[in-house]
Amino acid sequence: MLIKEALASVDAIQSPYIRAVTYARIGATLALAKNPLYEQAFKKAFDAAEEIDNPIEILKALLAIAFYLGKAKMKSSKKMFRQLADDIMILPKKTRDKLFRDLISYMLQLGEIDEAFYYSEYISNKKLKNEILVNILKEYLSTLVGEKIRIIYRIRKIELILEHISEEPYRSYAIAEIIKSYLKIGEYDRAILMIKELKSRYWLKQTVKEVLFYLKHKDLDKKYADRLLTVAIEISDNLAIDINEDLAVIFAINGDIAHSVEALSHVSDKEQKLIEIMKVLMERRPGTVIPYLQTLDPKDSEIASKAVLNYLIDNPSPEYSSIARYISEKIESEEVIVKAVQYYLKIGQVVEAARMTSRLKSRKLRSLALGDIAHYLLKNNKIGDALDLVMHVEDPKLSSVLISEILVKVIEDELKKEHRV
Amino acid sequence: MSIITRLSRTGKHEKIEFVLKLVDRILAGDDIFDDRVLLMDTIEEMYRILRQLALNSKDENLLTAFEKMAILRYSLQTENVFDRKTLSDIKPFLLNTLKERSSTI
Repeated sequence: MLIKEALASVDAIQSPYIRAVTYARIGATLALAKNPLYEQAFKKAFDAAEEIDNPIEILKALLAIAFYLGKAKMKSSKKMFRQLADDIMILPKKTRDKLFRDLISYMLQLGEIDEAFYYSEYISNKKLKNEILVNILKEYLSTLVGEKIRIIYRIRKIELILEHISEEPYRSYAIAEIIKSYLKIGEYDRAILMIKELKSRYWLKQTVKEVLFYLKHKDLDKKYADRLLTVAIEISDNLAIDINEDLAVIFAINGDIAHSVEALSHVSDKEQKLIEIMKVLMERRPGTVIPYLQTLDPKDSEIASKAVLNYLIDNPSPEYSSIARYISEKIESEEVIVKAVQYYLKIGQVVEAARMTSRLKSRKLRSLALGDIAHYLLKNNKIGDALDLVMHVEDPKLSSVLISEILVKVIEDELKKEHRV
Repeated sequence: MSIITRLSRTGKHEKIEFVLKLVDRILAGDDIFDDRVLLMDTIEEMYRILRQLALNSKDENLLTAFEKMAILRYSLQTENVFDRKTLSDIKPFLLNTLKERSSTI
């Protein structure tokens, strides 16, 4: 009874467009509940649509009715959509695009992905078309997860849709989404091959990262790292986008040191990149720094060690003294030792710093390091110790400077004391 | 307008669009971003791109977007809290930047 009344009350709605849509909605609900009144509701919806005086709005209302017929699982829905599509096609571009956008959106909601894809061809605005194709693709991809049968057929379909997505950033985004879905259904090789389709450096970096992390969760990262690297090298060669350097960082962060070093060997300004990688690792994965240094050849290891120590000097923290110790023990370079001395002084470990200097053979460097220590002692008002140390500075120029500073400091301190008295 | 500035503008455009799409992907709640390290890394990447763009810019929208991204990054790194709301707040500012850009080109 209430249903009948409600149905009758729809007439109170003034706008014929809204009235038509409302009748159609009610019709779909009734049909699904197997209430025979649905026929009447749909009929009234058509009647209301006839009252609309704007032809575009009539089409819009009819599209909505077709959609609700589809919701009600009526066969007439598809026929109606086809008819409407024919009508829309003769309209001017702008209006046509808008109406097709609505039509496709309805199609997608009804799960008619193939039809939606078919009609997307008729959209003339490139941006809009790409945007809609991405939506269609995403809808398609969502059917892929969990589905095992006819996978090859579906994958072909996906790649066909992708062929039509020509504009950026839609294309890159679409590829990234496809790769993600391929990973989820275990098509790892396909996912990796798909990376080749990307043309934007940002997306390349991001997707490679995502693939690697995903594989890591599946404990497959080592197995596929080679393939990933091959693809990356190929892309770099073909596109003149060097993502090997990014890859070296990504592998390193992921803890895959061997592949990181491998990727690094394909980078043109290797030294610079190595320094960057060490900085990134110190910031984000300090635990991998020592194993990384161990993997590098002696020359690179020295460059990397210097970078690490520079980082430690800029960001002194006693937490990483083990890294400094490792470096100062392994690397023969005297320059590295001088840097280690500076670091130890920064974190206040004078004894360790002094121990380091004894390993310096070059007179000049030893004097420099001792000078640094003397400075430190002076700053901390250990003037006696500083003076003892200066006696060991062999470089006459430096020792003179230091003695001069010590003496000035002594006098300044004395004056301060007198002032207080 | 010289070709160089136009090129660099499109470079910016590409970067902002990339960040926007990334924001969308993270907000879509995909389980790929359940990985904390990947999430942090992705936020870090967006932060760096926006920082680079914001440094020489007077674009209020871009600066606000960067500011919010910085807050997001900070709370993720220091408190391990991922604030979806802040991330979704960034979107309109980036969209505005894109709009203004395309109108000036």
